[in-house]
Amino acid sequence: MVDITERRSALESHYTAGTFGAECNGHPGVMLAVRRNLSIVHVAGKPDDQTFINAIKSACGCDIPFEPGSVSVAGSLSLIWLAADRWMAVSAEPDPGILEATLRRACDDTVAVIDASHASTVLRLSGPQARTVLMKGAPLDFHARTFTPGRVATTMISQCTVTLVCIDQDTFDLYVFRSFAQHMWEWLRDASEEFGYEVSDILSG
Amino acid sequence: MLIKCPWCGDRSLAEFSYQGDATIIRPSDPLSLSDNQWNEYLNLRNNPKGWHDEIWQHLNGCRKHFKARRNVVTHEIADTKPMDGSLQGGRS
Ligand SMILES: [Zn+2]
Repeated sequence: MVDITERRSALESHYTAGTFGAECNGHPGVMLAVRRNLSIVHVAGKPDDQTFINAIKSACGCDIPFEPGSVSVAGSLSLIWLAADRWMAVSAEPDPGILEATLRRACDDTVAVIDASHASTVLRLSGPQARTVLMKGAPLDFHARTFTPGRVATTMISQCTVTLVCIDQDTFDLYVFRSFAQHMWEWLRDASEEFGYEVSDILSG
Repeated sequence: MLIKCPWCGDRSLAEFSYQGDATIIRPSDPLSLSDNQWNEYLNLRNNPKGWHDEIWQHLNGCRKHFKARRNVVTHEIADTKPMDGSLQGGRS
């Protein structure tokens, strides 16, 4: 029987692992990968509601990141700031129903909990030139002292809304709407061409 | 050009969308208005030279609406505030 719950990346049929672009003698400037099978649940609640704050803490194991553009991490779960009253919980759990149910159980009905796992394609961009590639596309301050590990910003790359999370100085996650995934993928490959780039195997989680 | 989102800070104009005059108040009882009064509320806007209080949205960012006091001659923005804040500065 076919497992209808098996998730496939929007890029699956466009994805070829290997080394591409300018000659880089085994030292690609950029590494590209798709992160598949993530649970992504959006949460909206009142930031001054102590019940909400406690509920998220008990469900996620970390405090709500209230500072604009910040991220809280608890193990494999990240709680990512999206707006003054909206956050995105991301975990490497392939069944998004589990994270959604955990959050919904913890919160009362003044809190919106929405499974958006299938709405986004998540790309991981890393390597010594990863930051330079992003600088070419987004009108954001990418200075290494400004956009630091643990920071998030939603901005635009090549006409698409993209949420960028800085994982470490040379590693970034890009959340794009699934239907824009191929466009963003092609833009990233084109922008990485001059540095030589490696497409790794699809990351499960 | 940079616009200061009250939450995200200075960000590129490209991320923002203009959403109209921030001084218009929806009539409390629309059914009691004449067609002319409704037309005035819905469609007619003043266009003074100088400072405007406007609604903007950080559309390709945190998506929040906020108020901005902008000079339409110089494009200077004197202040931005959340929708329930009151704008300071400029000469409005
Ligand atoms: Zn913003």
